[in-house]
Amino acid sequence: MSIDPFPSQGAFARELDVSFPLLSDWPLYQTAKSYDVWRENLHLAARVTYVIDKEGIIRGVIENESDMEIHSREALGIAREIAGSSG
Amino acid sequence: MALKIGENAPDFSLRDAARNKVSLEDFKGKKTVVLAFYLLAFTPG
Repeated sequence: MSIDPFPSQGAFARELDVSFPLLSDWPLYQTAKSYDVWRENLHLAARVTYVIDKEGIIRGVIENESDMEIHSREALGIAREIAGSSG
Repeated sequence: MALKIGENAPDFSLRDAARNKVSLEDFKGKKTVVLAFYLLAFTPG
């Protein structure tokens, strides 16, 4: 998710050919704010990835501004752990 | 900065690129959700 308006998200989604939804938090940035990643001074969201289990509990928080691969690798690992523990 | 492990994830209801509504509630009891905040479209990460 990002704060881009829908047309930007659509173009980005087509370019990446992703199989998951790219959500737009524009124009209120309410989700970035409620997840405490909104940086008012920069008017941007921080690079943070959350893993949320089926009960709606946060099970993983990945914060790394420079290494993007860590986000996908750790999120996948945590998601697998959750899947393994809950069956 | 950022919420902590063990906290309740705040619900959200946003629209995807096709303007379909997607809520955290949609996945409750069904799927694990990976919610990734990234800076802007066409940026790496």
